[in-house]
Amino acid sequence: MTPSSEQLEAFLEKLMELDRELARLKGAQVRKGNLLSDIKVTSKEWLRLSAALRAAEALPAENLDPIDTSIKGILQSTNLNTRSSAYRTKLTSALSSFIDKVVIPVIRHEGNPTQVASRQLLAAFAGKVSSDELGYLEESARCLASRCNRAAIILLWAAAISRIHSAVEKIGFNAYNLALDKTTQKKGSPFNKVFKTAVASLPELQRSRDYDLLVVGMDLWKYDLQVFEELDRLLGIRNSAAHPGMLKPTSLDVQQYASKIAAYVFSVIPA
Amino acid sequence: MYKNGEAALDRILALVEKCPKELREKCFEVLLSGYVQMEVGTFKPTTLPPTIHVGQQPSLQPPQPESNIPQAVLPRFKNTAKRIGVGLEKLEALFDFNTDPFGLHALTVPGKNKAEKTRSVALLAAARSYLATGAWSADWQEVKSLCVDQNCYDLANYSMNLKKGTGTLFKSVEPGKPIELSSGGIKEAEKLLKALTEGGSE
Repeated sequence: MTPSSEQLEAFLEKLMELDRELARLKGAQVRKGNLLSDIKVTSKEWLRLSAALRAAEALPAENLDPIDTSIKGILQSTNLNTRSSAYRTKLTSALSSFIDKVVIPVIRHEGNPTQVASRQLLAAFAGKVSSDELGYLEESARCLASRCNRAAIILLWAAAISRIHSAVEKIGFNAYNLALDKTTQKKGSPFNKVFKTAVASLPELQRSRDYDLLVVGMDLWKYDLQVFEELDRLLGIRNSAAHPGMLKPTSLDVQQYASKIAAYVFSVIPA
Repeated sequence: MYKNGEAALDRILALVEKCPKELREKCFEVLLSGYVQMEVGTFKPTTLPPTIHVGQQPSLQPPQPESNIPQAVLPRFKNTAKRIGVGLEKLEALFDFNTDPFGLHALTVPGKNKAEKTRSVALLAAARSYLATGAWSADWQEVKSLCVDQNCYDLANYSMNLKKGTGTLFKSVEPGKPIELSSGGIKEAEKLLKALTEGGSE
């Protein structure tokens, strides 16, 4: 996970505190166990943060290399009888570029409108989803942040179907089959398009068509034809996103899709 | 008037002669009427309809100035422009639609000091969010990033500067969380948008 600017700012504060501690020694050798331990812990923390920043490609390696060198030098010095002034020389080098080379680029990365859209997508579902559903939504948000908008739509729909499956499991397969029977007895579209396939287990439910679940859902969760039609449109968009074609959804399209999924699935079908 | 009447009449008669017999009377009437109208100044040359090419839809309205605002958010832009009393094109000019999602163009955000500027930046970020998603809430990190651009990011006091707007501008301010605008904040954000469209930032 990419370290946030808040984490980096907090780390910077630790470095500055360390520098203040070292300054109090007025150049003398560092002997205090607590201080040496703090130096080691802080240095190792930076190396973890640096590795995470490199993995996320949040900022160029040349921004991190000089700071890594300084901090590694500090860590190695803890095995020697090093003077506080020697620590401070290396620390000053890291501190001098930390804001410009690390904190600010990460702030800019986080504030990028694509990243903002990704966070807003997740925020639309706050307090409405289970941890399983959240997994799909987080993956969708990551796709949006990476400009993989078709994939983001597919994963949003996966979250919606996950909710429908868990809701069916909750009410029981008998209730579902009963609703399926009632639905298929009705005349006209969309009822006459539903496959009458009874289910007795989750794998069988997973094999059911999404369309059938949406139609039967009118009976199970008492949403009306207009909500069904909206859900059917969302399914259509999902299918378009999943197949080759000229559809080019934008970030805004994905956000709108997300807000409709939140409104018509997660606010209508109980967890 | 009718200076060359005789010659014109001769010409008309010559033309009428060329017509089939049954149409001569009508032809004379039309040509003479045309000549008279031209002489008295009431003649209006017949205008042909503009040529419509195959596949081209006839235009019923004058061409609208090109807008880059995505269709999905156009109604919100139109409503906001109307509400704050500025032209749509002026509101559109504040944003960069060449990026997806759209962002803010380079602007000078008003404020006497870093704290005030930070709060104005939050209002502006919330306005962008509203226009994009319909929610008057500013993303914490976006505000921070805009503050860096506006040279008002104060690492030590960033949260504090925003928290001072709690109640008057923001419903609540928690580090890392979206900053939701209060009704007063929405009014201020709209005022800010209007000021920026009018080129004033102070």
